[in-house]
Amino acid sequence: MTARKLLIHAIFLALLIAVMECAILWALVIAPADREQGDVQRIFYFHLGSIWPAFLAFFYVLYGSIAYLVTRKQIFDHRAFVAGQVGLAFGSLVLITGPIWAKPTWGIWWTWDARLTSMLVLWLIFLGYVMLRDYIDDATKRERLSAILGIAGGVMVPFVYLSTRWFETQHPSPVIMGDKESGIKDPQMVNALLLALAAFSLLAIYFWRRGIELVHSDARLQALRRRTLDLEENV
Amino acid sequence: MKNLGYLASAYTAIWLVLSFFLAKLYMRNQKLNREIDQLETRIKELESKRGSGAE
Repeated sequence: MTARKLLIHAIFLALLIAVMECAILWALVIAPADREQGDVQRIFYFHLGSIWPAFLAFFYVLYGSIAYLVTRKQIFDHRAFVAGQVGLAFGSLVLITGPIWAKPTWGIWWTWDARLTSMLVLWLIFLGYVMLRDYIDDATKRERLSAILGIAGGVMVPFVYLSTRWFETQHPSPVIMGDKESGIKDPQMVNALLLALAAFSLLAIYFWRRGIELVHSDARLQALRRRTLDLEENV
Repeated sequence: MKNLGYLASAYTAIWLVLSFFLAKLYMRNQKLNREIDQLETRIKELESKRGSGAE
């Protein structure tokens, strides 16, 4: 890693840690407790903070998959795959924190309404997308099938987002770009949400960058393996 | 403060999942770097062998 890259990396990491600390402070201390739900509502900040980077990552998979099918350049497939992994991690957070929040507020861990079910289906699609890599040996076939699955998953994101408007659901309406009645009014709650969104978005970018570095290291390893084999045959 | 257990569980789960993901990335990176180092050493050995063979 060059000195410039190291400096950018250090600045980014410092920014990530600072924003994350502020997000935790606002979510757990500064933002007031909800009048109806009490402190358990504080789960909301990171629950919603997780869905945002998950959706962004899944959209990136859609873009990368289309770009791969059009250009057949492996780099798009690799970037999309890493985005799929990042999206799956944040999607897992949504599916874990959701039921933990639902139990004290709705009285149930889970309900098969449109939002929750579509989110679970989306998560399963991307779980399949990530796991598919280990089951198909033919690289071209694997990349093509992954791209098709990635497009199917990416296309489903707007459906998950709009499901609370199209169907009657237990899940509340969207807070971001939602109806006038939905959303939060307290400015400190808004700050806590914005900080959580910023912190997890930066974290998602950090994960994605590290994932891309792994892809590059893996490519280098393959090239070294080929070189070693070549030398072993000729020595 | 009611339902504090749920709040603590949710935040614990968040940091566990994120730590697991980060640890997975870190371990994979370590493994790849180790393999790269081994192969680079092996390539140097083979190249020096080939060089001495040619002399």
